[in-house]
Amino acid sequence: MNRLFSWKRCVACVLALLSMLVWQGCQGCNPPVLKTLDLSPSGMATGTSGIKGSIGWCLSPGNPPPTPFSPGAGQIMVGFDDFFRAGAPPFPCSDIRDAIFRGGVSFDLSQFSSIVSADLLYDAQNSISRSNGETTGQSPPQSFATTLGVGTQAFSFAMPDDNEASLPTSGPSFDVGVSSQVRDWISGAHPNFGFVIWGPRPPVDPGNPPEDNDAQITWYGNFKLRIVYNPAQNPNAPQ
Amino acid sequence: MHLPRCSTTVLVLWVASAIAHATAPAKTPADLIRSLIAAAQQGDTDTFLSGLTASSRKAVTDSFARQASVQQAQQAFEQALDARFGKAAPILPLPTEDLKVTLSRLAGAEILQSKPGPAGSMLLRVKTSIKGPSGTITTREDSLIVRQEGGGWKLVLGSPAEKQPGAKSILETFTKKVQNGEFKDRVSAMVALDSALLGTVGKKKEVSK
Repeated sequence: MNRLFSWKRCVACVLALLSMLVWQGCQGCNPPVLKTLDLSPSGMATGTSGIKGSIGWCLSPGNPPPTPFSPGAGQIMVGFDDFFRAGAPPFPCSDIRDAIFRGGVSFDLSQFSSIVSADLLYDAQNSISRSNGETTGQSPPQSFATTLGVGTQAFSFAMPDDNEASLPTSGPSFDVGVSSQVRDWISGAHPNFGFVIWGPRPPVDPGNPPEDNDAQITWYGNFKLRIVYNPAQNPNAPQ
Repeated sequence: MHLPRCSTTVLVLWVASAIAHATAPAKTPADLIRSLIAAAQQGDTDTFLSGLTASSRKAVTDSFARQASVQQAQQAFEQALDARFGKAAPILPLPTEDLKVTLSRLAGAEILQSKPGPAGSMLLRVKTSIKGPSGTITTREDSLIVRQEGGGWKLVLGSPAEKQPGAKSILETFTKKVQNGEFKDRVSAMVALDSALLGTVGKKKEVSK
């Protein structure tokens, strides 16, 4: 009995010692309790680039009608709206409007020092297309944006960007991983001028502008930036 | 797409003042074309305008005035949308070109053919070089009309008359419709306006390149 008791005591001591060692060794690698926070945009704008005016022997700003489209409350507008009317004698001057719409959405990340992940969430809320002289809306809305970039300057009519990635076009709700972009903003590797969403057309080539009357536009809204973070590493964020 | 109202006014006055500007009258249609191209390349809008007939210069003034009134009507439409459906997120507009920028695209011209036209005028077939902002040059052929006026050859230019009802009238009509609650949402109103504006320019799909 005594021998058995000693053997049991010995095993218990070893286990206790092992558990103490394991406990002490894993103190720094306990899984942290992560938090998720949805940020609302701190800024939104739609930029209009392209050309509007006349080509040829012209002495007027031309007569392309104004684009009737504009973003609604809490929305950005992405796509293009073309107009072309060829000149004919005695008016050898073509009227043209090639408007490219790019949307900018920015978020205030000042409360974060590091993140685990970030996702950009948004919805395509409306869309229209024009071809063959007819303008129609789509239900469900069609997403015409093809590219997600990060802004290289404060929002402007041209909305220049870099670090571009392709966007999914199936919707109407979208969840796009943007962890690397957000990390660059937080670390200061890239200034935070927000996201720029654009497509399907690139900027207009002034030397070869589209000469058609087509349009494809999507209105996007419900923007959220979903941040997953470790509160212990982000003392300024909600704990 | 908004032409600032103040700059429009300035341009109208500028164009009007240029009417009084006079240069040596062109002795031939070829002299006129050369003078116009030189003025365009130098950004000399006064000299360019002085090479036009009086009615053409008036067409310029009318065109700028028409653009300004359309612009005001469009702003009223957008304000009506905001009042009805909520304040829109900001849109940063495309800068509108002025006369000097438009003219600066004329890089050269060569008369290919000339023949007599009605009432003593001449019809010119001109190959025009158009310069893009990136420096690329494209060419196109235009038919120009020139006639003698004030002791020299002048170019007849203008803008085609807008179909009626024009864009301003349509915008005003749709502003009232929005105010009267005739549209269920913002996009419906904009699509309806777009279809109406298409009608002001006829068959726009019949595009000739």
